[in-house]
Amino acid sequence: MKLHYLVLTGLALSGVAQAADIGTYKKPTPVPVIENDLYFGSIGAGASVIDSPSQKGLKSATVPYLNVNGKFTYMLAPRGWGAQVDANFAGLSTDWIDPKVRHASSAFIYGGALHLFSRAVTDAKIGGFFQFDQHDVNARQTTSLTMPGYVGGLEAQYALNHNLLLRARARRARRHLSLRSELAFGG
Amino acid sequence: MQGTRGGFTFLETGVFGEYRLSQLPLSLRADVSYLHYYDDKFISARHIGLNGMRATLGVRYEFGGSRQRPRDIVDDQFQTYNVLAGLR
Repeated sequence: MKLHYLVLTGLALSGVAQAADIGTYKKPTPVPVIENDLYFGSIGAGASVIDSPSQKGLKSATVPYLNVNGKFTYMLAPRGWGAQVDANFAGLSTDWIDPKVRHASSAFIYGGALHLFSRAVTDAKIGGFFQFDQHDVNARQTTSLTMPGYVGGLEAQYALNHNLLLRARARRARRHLSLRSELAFGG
Repeated sequence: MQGTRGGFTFLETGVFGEYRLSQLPLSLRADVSYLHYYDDKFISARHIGLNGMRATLGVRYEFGGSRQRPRDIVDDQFQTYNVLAGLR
């Protein structure tokens, strides 16, 4: 009998506790109204190395170089559309490859990209892009190798969860290679 | 003055990883790839050897945004690719 009374008391206390929770329940925080455009960006820097083994009668080579890039994104207030602009630069001096080289020359890769995208699909960003890169190698100002490259295509990224982003890109690339040599003959 | 034009085809296989610091707007990046150039007429004629490994270590600083709308992982900026510079 006493045990039964304790059980009933417990149920009553439980009911009071629920009622108290309902009485103090707070309204959920409303989703903020997006009134301003959004912009953000990033600046990156790094060091790279290409290691090429001995092949086709050439000696092996280790080519170090530095790279810097910047990205800037602007999204319209409704957040359905946005644009991203990239600027890229990488460079090296040939005496980084071989300090004993008699006449050091330089090589550069520079260019940029424009991305237009939509965030209309949940957990996804879908868009298209155009990219341009120029490769310049100048040796003693008598020989130059230039490789302009144009790339365009579609790109998308999808968040599988808060920590995993899946990226995909379909692109078409066009790169030209031009080697020019100016030979001077002394009198 | 002499001018030469040509092209080549290659296959790249690699991995790219980025680790974001939780307390700072910084991330560390690494990229390792193997590049194989097909031995077409242009490369053979000039004895150009282009097969090799490419590795990159880098850091990235992020800025901007809004307190009204914290950025999520989908907002991560698109990357571009260059055969010599890798993913950027």
